[in-house]
Amino acid sequence: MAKEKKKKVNPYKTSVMRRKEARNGLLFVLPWIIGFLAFTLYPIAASLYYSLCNYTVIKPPRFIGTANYRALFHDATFLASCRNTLFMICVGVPVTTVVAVSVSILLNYKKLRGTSWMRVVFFIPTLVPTVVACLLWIWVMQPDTGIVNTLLRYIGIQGPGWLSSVKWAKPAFILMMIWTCGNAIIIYLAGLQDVSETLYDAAAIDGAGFFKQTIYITIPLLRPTILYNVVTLIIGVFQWFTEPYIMTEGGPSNATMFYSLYLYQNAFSFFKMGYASAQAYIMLVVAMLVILFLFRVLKFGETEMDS
Amino acid sequence: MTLRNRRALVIAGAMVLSAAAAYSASADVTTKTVHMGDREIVTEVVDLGISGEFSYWSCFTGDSATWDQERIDAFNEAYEDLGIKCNVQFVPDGAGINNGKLISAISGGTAPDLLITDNPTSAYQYAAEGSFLPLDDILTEIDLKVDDFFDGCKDVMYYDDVCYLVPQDTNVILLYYRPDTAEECGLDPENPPTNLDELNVWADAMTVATDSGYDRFGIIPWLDSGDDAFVLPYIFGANPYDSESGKINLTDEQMVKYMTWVQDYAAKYDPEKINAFTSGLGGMFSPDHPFMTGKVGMTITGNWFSEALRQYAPDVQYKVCPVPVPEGGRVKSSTFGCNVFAIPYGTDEKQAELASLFIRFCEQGSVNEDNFAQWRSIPVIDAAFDDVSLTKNGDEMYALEREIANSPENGIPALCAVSAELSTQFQTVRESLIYNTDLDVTEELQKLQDQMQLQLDTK
Repeated sequence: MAKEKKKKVNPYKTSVMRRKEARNGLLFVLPWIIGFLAFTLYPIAASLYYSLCNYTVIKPPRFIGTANYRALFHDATFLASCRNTLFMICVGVPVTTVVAVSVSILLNYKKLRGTSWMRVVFFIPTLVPTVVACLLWIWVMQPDTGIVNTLLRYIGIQGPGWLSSVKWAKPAFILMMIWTCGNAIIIYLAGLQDVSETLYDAAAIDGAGFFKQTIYITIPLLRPTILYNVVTLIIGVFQWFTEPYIMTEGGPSNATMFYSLYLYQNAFSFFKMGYASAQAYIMLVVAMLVILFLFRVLKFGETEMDS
Repeated sequence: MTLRNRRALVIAGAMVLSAAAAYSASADVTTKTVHMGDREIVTEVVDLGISGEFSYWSCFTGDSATWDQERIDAFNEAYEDLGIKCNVQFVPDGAGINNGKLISAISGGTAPDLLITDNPTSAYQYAAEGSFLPLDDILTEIDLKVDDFFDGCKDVMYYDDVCYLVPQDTNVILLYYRPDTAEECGLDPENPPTNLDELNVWADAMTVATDSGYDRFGIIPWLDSGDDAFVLPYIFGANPYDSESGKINLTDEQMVKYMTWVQDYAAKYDPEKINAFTSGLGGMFSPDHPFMTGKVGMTITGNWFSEALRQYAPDVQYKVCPVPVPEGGRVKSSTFGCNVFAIPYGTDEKQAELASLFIRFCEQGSVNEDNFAQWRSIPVIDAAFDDVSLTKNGDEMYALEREIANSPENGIPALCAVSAELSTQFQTVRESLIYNTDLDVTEELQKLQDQMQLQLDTK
């Protein structure tokens, strides 16, 4: 009987209506499929080929094998851009994440008053267009008259040249990164809404204070949200372009030459489209490896119950 | 008759035929009075027997864009009867040359019929890549004589002996100094520095140190035109690229002299403290510029800075002199900073002819008069100086510009198939030497030379 049941075919699956619906469905998604093939898949495939060519856009590509990839690892500017990007991933991303999570937890703390408008205050910087924010931060970081150094002078510290300093240019960018983390804060706040109040109540009964509750309840349950934000932030760092392009153009002395900025320079200023394509593929592979590593470390897909 | 003689005869015959063809196709030229801004100008109108519209990308912004729009309006008025019209689009960042917009447009077949850019170095690399049309025949057709152009300008016009770029005007580089500061420091403003040693003496005398840093610097070697890749090295006597041998040369004595001067300066005054003066938004066209605020006593930059001073710091007293050079340098000379016209690859023949009429129109002194008077730009032909109002009015600074413009040593350095990258990488090495004063100048320059020569050889 059971076997006979399994063999029973749903008449809808072979019906004319089903085929009609499938055809209509395909027609509806066809514009997207065409767009995907023409504007995403083809460029991805083409750039893989170009990465193996000497290609200057105007002249036809000339196949040179893996020469671009080999040359990149002897290119001092490329290596500097890798070091700078790595610095931002290893220092900038954790610092920004710690600040964003801390602020979110504070803003979610019920006993704290005035959190509603504080949420707005933290979100407002994300509404500022990037170019405007860059120009603003050039002023903020101005050594003589900028607000940061002015505040430092009040407490007796002679601030550095920030954007004109090899040592302090990257920290200046991290400060800017923190300033614009309002989007992440909103996502963390949404994640915090999912943490059941009963867990805090139970912990409170057991004598856990705010910090213990944060360490043992909030952070573990916020793990998927943290993973999401960290991954998007890392991808953002790999793609980081506008800020260094406008604020420092990669200087001083390549201190802020980030990966995407150098890629852009090679492609559009030096006509080395093949070289830039090779760079893009290295970025793709490295970004994938970093993200897979993070998925594993932060146990993506597992809940606290699983672990 | 030897083979050589026969070949010479054939070439001579071909030249006669081309000259005859050029003569028969010579343009029908008339004059017309048109409005340019709020004045009337007399202009030549060339009838090639064609009509139509062409597109034009202009790199100019701000006041220069207003001036260019007036020029286009004047052109359209002049050629209205012939049914020719120029449609302009203002495209910042060197008419899209610096940000990839132009190359995308050329490869996508949507490039303009004509463009003007203020980045001749990158434009030259575009020409070397085959992105622009050869202009020799067109220049003959519109009867634009480029033989009299300053030799220094010709550097940028020709790649492999073919003309791709036409300069509209050019600029010279000068040392600006503040006489009030000089007097305050016991220096004679009537006798400005003429060589590098004297410049160093002036710079030291003008520098005011405080407990935490500096109140004023005499000069910052990498400020303004000093920040350009090869302006100062060239004036100091270096030849970064030898077009005949196709070799990049960043290690000759004059280049090392230049870079050592820069590095010694950084070591003496601390680059971070120096750059604290120049960071921020205080660019050349801003009242925050350190020369205007008195934070530097001297700066090396082009003739256009006089207009910035007039606009943003009219009370600041200043004087100019030729850039002081070390022994072996190019005395009383300059690099030429040209705005150049080009016709992108893919433009059809008729559109190119229409565009060439605009080039010819723009080369006229009557059209350039405002440009010269306001920005103190200079013509690309010496004789054209006589028609400029500044010359007629006996302007001292303009006379000095003319004297410098006529130096046979002027030129545009490092023009090759990797110009843009060479400039950028050179600037990076310079920054590296400024911030790491223990690095060896010759070694770093040698590394860059080898790297860029390899790039050039694989082109």
